[in-house]
Amino acid sequence: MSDKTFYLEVITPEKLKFKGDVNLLQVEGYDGQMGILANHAPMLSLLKIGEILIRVRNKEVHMAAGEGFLRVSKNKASVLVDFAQRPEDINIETARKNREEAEKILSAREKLQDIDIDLAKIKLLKALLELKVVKKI
Amino acid sequence: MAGVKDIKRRIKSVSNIQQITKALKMVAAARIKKAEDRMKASRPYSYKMQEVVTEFTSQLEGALHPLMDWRKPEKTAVVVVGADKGLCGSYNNNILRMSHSYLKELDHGFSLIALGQKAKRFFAKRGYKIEKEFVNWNTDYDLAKTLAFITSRWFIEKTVDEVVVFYSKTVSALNQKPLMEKILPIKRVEAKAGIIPYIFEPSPFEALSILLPKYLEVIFFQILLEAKAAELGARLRAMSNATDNAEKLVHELTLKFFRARQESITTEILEVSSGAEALKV
Repeated sequence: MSDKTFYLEVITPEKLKFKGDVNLLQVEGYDGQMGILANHAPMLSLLKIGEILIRVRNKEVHMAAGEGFLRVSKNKASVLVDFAQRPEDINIETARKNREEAEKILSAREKLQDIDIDLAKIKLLKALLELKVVKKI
Repeated sequence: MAGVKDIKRRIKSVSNIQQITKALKMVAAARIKKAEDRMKASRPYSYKMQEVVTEFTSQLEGALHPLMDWRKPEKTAVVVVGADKGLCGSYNNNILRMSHSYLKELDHGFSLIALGQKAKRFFAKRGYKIEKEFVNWNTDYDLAKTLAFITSRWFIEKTVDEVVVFYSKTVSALNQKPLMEKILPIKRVEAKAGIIPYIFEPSPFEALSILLPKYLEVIFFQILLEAKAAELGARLRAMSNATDNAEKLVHELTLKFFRARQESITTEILEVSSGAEALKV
């Protein structure tokens, strides 16, 4: 692996979650996983809800990230996502509770409006992802 | 003239109220700080978002997205952002009155979304149908997402033809202004020159169909943050006025109390001395 770096920032609406020079960024792209290295061509890519992996030298940072997009230009990458949680920020109890609530809503879907079903699906995806990432402490 | 005891009781009750308003004032002051921090923290995201959307829409010539589709409004979605709690002066009243008169003058149908207990009760009492309601709301991004989701869905399905939001903005620390903003259809922003051509992943149009809803979420989030800060500002001012007034009242009552006490002592002395005079004779 090359040791060239590029500047990365991970921004959510609530906070700047990460900034600094990194070697590798791995995200959940629209058509599957995608790795970004230094000196990437200018790009704008959509991101699905999924895991983010950042590698700085030999250190790895995992995050559970929401939908959003990635923009690369001039050796600078910005990841803008709905949320980005490191394993240590995730509350397992809340995630479990959210999963149960969402599953409950979805199990009674005949009575629901489309909007409510979709909202519950989003909630479920987030909870599942959080539960997956939290194991990577 | 009220008795000494009555005045004493009033002083006690007024200073109790003062204690409460003072506590509420302090709470509001602390929360304002937090709300401002949140607003600052959210800025990098919204700036970047704006930047990208501007770059994007100016690169895509002619290719319009459904969310930018302007049509003659036949049904309007009205979002009213109010507070859950009172004790914030005319904050709720201003925003509710403004939105209410807008609704009365509207010559076509509307769907109402109410945020906050106060807004919900206000419209429910007047017999309006509230399509969606959010009470005890906080400024979290999920709420903004939900609002954006609902309104954009309605807009794309053509259930509504425009979306307007009523909320309050902080003008200065002591002044909050209610205002109306039209957020859908999204206005097209013209970009400045000097744009780098990007590789789009997937196609530009697909990208836009994700970007614009996200942009809408950011707009909603900013609105929620603004409204919360304005609410806290209004509460701070109302409670600080109330505390000052209570203090004034306590002062006046204390003077009254002294006067009444003086009077009762004077009458007592008079009685005693006139009694003594009477005995001498």
